[in-house]
This record gives sequence, C-alpha cells and structure tokens, in this order.
Amino acid sequence: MSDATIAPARAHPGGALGELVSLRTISVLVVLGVSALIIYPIAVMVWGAFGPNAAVREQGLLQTLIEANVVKVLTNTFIVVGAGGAIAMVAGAMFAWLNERTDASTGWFGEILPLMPLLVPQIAGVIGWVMLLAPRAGLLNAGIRDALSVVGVELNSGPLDIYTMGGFIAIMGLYLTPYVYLPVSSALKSLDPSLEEASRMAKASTWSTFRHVTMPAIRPALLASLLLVLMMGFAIFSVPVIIGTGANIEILSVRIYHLVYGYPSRVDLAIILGLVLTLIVQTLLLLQAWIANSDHAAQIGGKGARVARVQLGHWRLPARAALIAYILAAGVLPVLGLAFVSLQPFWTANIKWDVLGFDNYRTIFTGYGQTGEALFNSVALGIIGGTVGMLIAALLARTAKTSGGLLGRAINAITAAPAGVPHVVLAVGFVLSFSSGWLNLSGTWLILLLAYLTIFMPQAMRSAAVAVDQVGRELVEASQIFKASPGRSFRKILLPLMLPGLAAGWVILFVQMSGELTASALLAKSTNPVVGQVLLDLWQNGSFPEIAAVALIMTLINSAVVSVVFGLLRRSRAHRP
Amino acid sequence: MRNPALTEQIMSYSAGVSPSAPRIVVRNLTKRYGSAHGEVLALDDVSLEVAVGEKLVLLGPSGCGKTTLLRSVAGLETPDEGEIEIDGKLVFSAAKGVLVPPEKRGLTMVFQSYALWPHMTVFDNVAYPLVNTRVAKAEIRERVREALRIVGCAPYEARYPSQLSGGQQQRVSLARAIVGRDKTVLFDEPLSNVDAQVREQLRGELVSLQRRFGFSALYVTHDQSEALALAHRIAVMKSGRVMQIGTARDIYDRPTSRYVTNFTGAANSFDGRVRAVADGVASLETAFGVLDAPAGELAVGQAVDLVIRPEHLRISTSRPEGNAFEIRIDAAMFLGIYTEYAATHTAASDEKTAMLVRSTEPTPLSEGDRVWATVSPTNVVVFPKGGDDE
Repeated sequence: MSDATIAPARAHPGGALGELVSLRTISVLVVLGVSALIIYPIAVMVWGAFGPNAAVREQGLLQTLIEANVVKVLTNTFIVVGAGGAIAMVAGAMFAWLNERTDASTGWFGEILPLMPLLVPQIAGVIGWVMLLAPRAGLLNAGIRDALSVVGVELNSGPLDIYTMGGFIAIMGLYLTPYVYLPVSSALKSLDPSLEEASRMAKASTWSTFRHVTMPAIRPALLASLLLVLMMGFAIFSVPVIIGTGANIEILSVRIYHLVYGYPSRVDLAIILGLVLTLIVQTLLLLQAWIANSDHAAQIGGKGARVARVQLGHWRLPARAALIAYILAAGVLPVLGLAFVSLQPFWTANIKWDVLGFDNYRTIFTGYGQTGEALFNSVALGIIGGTVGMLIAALLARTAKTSGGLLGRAINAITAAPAGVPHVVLAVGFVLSFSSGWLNLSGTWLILLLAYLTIFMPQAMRSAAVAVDQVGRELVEASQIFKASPGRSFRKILLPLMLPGLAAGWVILFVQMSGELTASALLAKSTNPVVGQVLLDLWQNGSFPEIAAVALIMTLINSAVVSVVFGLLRRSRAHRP
Repeated sequence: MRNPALTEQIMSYSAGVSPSAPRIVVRNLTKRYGSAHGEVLALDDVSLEVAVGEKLVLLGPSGCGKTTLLRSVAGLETPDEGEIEIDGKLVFSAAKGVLVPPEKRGLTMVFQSYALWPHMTVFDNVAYPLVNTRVAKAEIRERVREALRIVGCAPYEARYPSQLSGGQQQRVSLARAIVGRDKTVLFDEPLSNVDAQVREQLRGELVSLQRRFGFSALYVTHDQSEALALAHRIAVMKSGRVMQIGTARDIYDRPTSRYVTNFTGAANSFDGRVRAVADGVASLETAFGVLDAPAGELAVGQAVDLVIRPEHLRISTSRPEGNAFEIRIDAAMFLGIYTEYAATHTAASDEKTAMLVRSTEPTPLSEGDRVWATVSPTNVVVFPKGGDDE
C-alpha cells in the first residue's frame, strides 16, 4: 500500500479515533509541555551544580560534601528512614493481615485507613502530635503527669518527648504505615482464600499456613511496599521539618530546604544534595519496577469468597484495640490536640476552660497576617489544580490507551517521571528555572500551579488510568455501532462512565495540592502565600494557637470535600454496583 | 400478524435490496499485527459473501482471525488490504482510501460482554440507537417497548443492567440490536458468557428472531455445535484464512481437510494406501483391511489419510456386506443419547488399531465382546498425505 492510499484512510480512522485526530494533537502538545516542566528545571539544576559557575569546581565534589556536613545528615537520614520504615513495615503488614484474615477484622478499618491521609493533612497531623507530646506544654504529657501525681510521682516535663530521635522515628512510622497497609491488604484480598483453606485441609497449622502459603504469596507486595516506604521516607518533608528541626536532627530533605531558604543560602550545595536524593529515590523506583515485572506470585482473582478467618481467641480484643489505636493515633488524637490549642489564647498544658474561645479563628480572617489569604489561595489552587490536572490526565490516559504505540509509551513514561524526583528537589529546580530572566514567575500563582501540576501528575495519571480502564472497550465500540457520532459517544458514554473515577482523582489532587508543603515552602512568597508555607513561617515565629486553628480549618475543609464528593459517588453508584 | 408495528418492521426487512445482491461482500481482506515476535497475519486474503437473510457463522479457535474479520466488517478495525461492501455500498477499500465509520455502516452488533451501558436504564440502552438516528420520541417509546417485549424483557425497562442476570442482559442487548431495524446484525460470541442452560434457550430464540426479522447475520463462535445449530453456512477459519465454507452438512460430512474434520467434531484418523481405482470408487489398503471410498482425484499407489467419524461406524454381530472389519470392545461409556465404545482391531500381523465408535443401539456391548464394524463408503473421508494443512 503506497503512502498516497494511507492518507485518506487515516482521515477518519475507525470510529472513536475520529475525535482523537484533534485530541491526539492536543495530547502531544500537553506531553511536550509536561516534559518541559520536568526536564527544564532539572537541566538547569545540573548546569548550576556542575557548570562553569559552580562552587564545586573550585573545591571538588568531595570537599564540598564534607564541608556541608553531609555525613552527619546522611547518617541521620538512614537511621530515621530505616527505623521508621521498619515500624511501618511491621505495623502495616500486621494490620493488613489482622483485618483481612482474622476475626479481629472490622469492616470500617479497611475503609477508613486509606482515607486518613485525605481527611487530615499530614502537616496538620504532625503539628497536632507536637501539641500533644511536646515535653512541657504537650497536652498528653500533662495528662500523664496529672495521673502520675495522683500516685505521688511529680514531674515538671515529660514523661514523653516528641523532640527526640525516638519521637521522630515513631511519628515517621505512623505516617509511613499506610504505604505498607494498602499494597499488602490488596494482595491479601486478591489472594484466593481457597489456597489457604487447601493448606488447612492438608493438616497444616495456622502458623504453618501463614508461613508456607500466605507469606510467599504476598512477598512481592511486601517487597514493593518496602521500597515505597523507603522512597516516601527519603522524600517526606512535614515530619522532619517540624519534629526533626525541633529535635535538632536534620535529614536530607530538610537540609536541602535549609540550604536554599537559610542565610547565607548555598543553592549549589542544595542542588548536589538534591541530586543525591533523586539518585536514591530513582534507584528504589527502578528496583520496584524490576520487581513488579518479575512478579510471578499468585495473582489469582478471588471471587470475593468469604474467608474462613483465623480465630485469635484471647488475642482478638488486643488485636482489635491495636487497629482502633492506629486510627486514633493517625487521625483523631492529633486533631483533638489541634482543637484544644486552637481555642486557647496561648499554648499551655494547663487548660483554663474559661478563656477558651474562637479568637484565633477571628484573627485568621481579620488579622494582619496572611493566613486568611493563604487559606483562600490554597483552596483555590486545590480546586483549579485538581480540575486542570484531572482533565489533562484524563486526556493523556485516554490517548495512551487508545493510540498505544510510541505515543502511548511516551505519555506513560513522561507523566510518571516526577514520581522519581523528590518534591523538594523539583521545587529547587523551579526556583532556579522560573525566578529570573525571561521566565520570571517568582511570587505568582502560576509558578505554584505549574509546580503542583508537575509534582502530582503521576498521581493524577494513576487515577485517570483507573477511570479510563473502568470503561470497557466494548462499551465505547457499542456506542459507535449504535450510530453515535464520535463526539456523542464521548459525551454520552465515555465521560459519564469516567466521571466517578475522575472525581475520586480530583479529591486526591485537591487534598494534596491545597495542603502541599514542600514545594510551597520554597516557591510561595508574601505575594502568593499558601497554607503550607504560612504554617512553616508561623511555626518558626511561634504563634501556636493560630497554627492549630489554620491546621484545623484545613482538616475541616478536607473532610468536607472528601465526604461530599465520596458521598455523591456512593449514591451515584448505589443502583449500579 | 396482528401487530401493525411488527408487520411494518418485517416488511421493512424484506423490502429494499434485490435478493440476488449479497448483503456483505468481503474481498481479499488482509490485516497484519506487529508483535514482539515479528508480524502476525490476523487476516490473510479473506474473501466471502453473506446473502440477504443468511446466517453465516465464522468458526475457529481463538486467534484464527474470525473476530478480526467481524470487527473489520463492523468498522471497529481497519484492515491493511482489501475491500468490504455492505448492501452494495463500498464501506472499506484500502486501494481507494475508503473508510466509512461504524455509525454510518447501517449494521448493529451483539457483543460478547453484552456491552450494555451501566449508567443507563434498560429502556435508555435500547433507545440509544433510535435517539442517535433522530427517531420521534413517541415512536422511540413504542419501538423500544416492542423490542423489549419480543425478547421477554419488558418488565425490566426501568432497571439498570447490573440488576439483571447475564441471560437477561444479553436479551436486552439483542433488543438493542433489532430495535433499529438494521438489515445486518453482527454477533461476537454472544452466548459464550451465559451459562449452559440459558445458552441453549437463547440459541433457539436467536434462530426464531432471525426468521422473524430476516436480517443477515455474521456470527462468530468457537463452539462447533453452536455453529452447526445456527448456521445456514459455516466458514471454518485457521490462521487468518478461510479453510472451508459451506452448509453445516457439507462441512461436517465432506470436510476438505483434516483441520476442518477435527474442528467440527470427533474423528478417527487412519493411514492408508490406494490399491485400485474403478468406477469412482477407490479401494484403500489399511491396517484393518480393504475399505472402499469415493475416488475423487486419488491415484493408485498414493498414501492417504482416512477419516471416519465415530457415529458413522455401525456395529453388527454378524459379518455385513462391504466395508467391514472385526473389532474388540475395550471400554463402554454410556452418554445418554448414545454409547461411546473404545475398540481395537487386531490384524493377522498382530498390528493393533484403536478407534472410537458411537452407537445408538439399545443393546449394550461389554468389554471383551467381538463384533463387526461397518462404514458406508461415502462416510470415509480421504485426504492425500502430505500437502495437507497440518
């Protein structure tokens, strides 16, 4: 077939592709835009670190690193991430097994746990824990002291101190646990229970069944979550910047931030450390992809058959208590801490009930500070960013699926790339690339929006891919067969069917963007304040009740958005399960 | 016919194209797929026609190209070479650069997965093709209800697909395919997702629907009994090619290759050699004696494969005339409508030949019984050795 004959046939290629002729062009442009937003800042960073003007050239790389006290920072990082990750692995895997395979299970645990990070922004939770466990003013500590004084033990501070290596590690573990729970519990869900039942029928004990059947089957999920935990642990910013700074334990992600933000700033060092951090995360990412590819474990789709749950006997109540305790620790307790502090005129462990009031909330919206403006900006950025992000992701995911081939692979690779670059590093890249010269966006909304879209594009693509996959190929084909034009098929079939998935993705984007801390800390200024950056500023200037109030307001906004959207989704799904 | 709407519907099916022009014409269709192991020919120069009111079944194992062919006719896939005509109108031609999109080809389809839209009620699903072709509202209501009544799903019009059983969903999908009164309906393994009992029932309903409305059908299946039951004609496919096309009886009784023989039912295969040819009858030398078979193009001395279906072997206790040989019953399996025997012939040279025999005789034979097997020469199918398809 000559080229001349291909051309007219491609003019309206079969069915839904008609609409994609133009959509394809748009997709290509969007992909180019996204790749520019990732590649350009990183290229600028590398140039800055090793180019002709870099300080490294005078001192040599090693000397520079030693001068920056990198060894100490790296040691801290490995201890905190290692120990926190270990806690998360044990707790997450245990919770997953308890909830999926034993009689300690409660239905709501599995539903609430994945929602926790959406309901309570991480920064709010971390600040809440400080409010509870600070050595002197911590509310929980005060409560424990009161209890101890009843039995005659008098303490001025403590007994617990969050500003220690132990406290740091414990809170890291707390926030890393979901990254283990989710993959492991879904692996357990998809593991056909009859495999375990067969083992029990073959006279194997509960323990032996767990060791020889369950464990090998979920090993890939455990391995994947280990890598995920390490990746998240290296990149996480909220816990180290609040608790680590208080405990005087600096880890890599915070060090990079301090190098840029502190005085005198050492951007060149920040870049080098950023590249080190990126290298670590990329390695973990590659390992994960490699494991996912060589995953030959039992992926047998269970038909949702009822599992004969392991009877825990005496252990059932303690096990269930552990599940409940986790929910309390990850969500309820820190929010209570925030609520108490936010109602006080100043942060003290001695709650005087008569002075509690809403003054701090009034200050936020009427005071001189920027908190009110920051709240508005963050919510607006969440809404705009979430909407734009999901639209772009839906378009790209659909194009990747229908066109396949080189374009499809390019779309998937490029949109996944930001996942391998820690937020703080990407933010440094944005600072360098868009703060001067012809592309000066410094202090604008746009730089924040672009950074958020880039950072959360992998997340948006995952949600959109799920939404696209939910619409079976035959459903769209049937629409074409039954005489609908491409545009009509898109409006009447594709869009309504994708909408629930897109809405769920939108919620995740909204929550993450409106509560974004890491990039905001470097990119937001007094002209474009957002919640994450204002909270950090306030934290350094010590207006704790106001911080608590802002964090609580964010929690309330998130909870409202999450419950409204998910409630609507649930209702729309009610008649078509 | 008491129902005027229905009468009109039937009239509209029988009117239109002259009976001599075929409904679908496929000419030299070729489709290639690139894969990791090089290029695969999904369709390899396929040509066939579907007549007005005819049910043509595409039969073959998965990967034989039957679904690709169906989807190419539907317009859901673009072949690399060849032409497709529907009702005399060119809808695809690689050489002329013609590609009519599915919605303009004037056909409908019943999907394997039903493909009912989950966010629409049963009524809206069936109404969709009418809404798209701008039929008046009142008429839509009437025609949707009529179609749902015909398939026995009238009570469910307000429900969502997920509230129906698989069989009911496929009935709704049938209603959606007939409601637009299109003259061609494509079926993509429509019965493979419903369970066995419903399948039998739906198969019967499909036949009567087609009789009632007279549409032409192109029907894809991998199930040989479904093909034999439904088809006016069957096209047996393999590796992107049509191996044989003909009536169900042709395909079953006079297969032209061992592949077609095996795919359309159980068969005993034997080696043989042509000893003599006379008056259109060939004498074949086999391990179990000399058999007569239709001579065809066979030449003396040629090595051949013989194929005899188990139900074409008849059993008698005394030596009959013609093609006959002695066998010993090794095992018997009672299967309801017939009894299947595993049997062996032992030649004077002690060479053993195993075969299957299906008998509807009421008197059972048991292990160790020695009986005579006989086969009519017309039921001995002979292919020259080598040059075959396998």
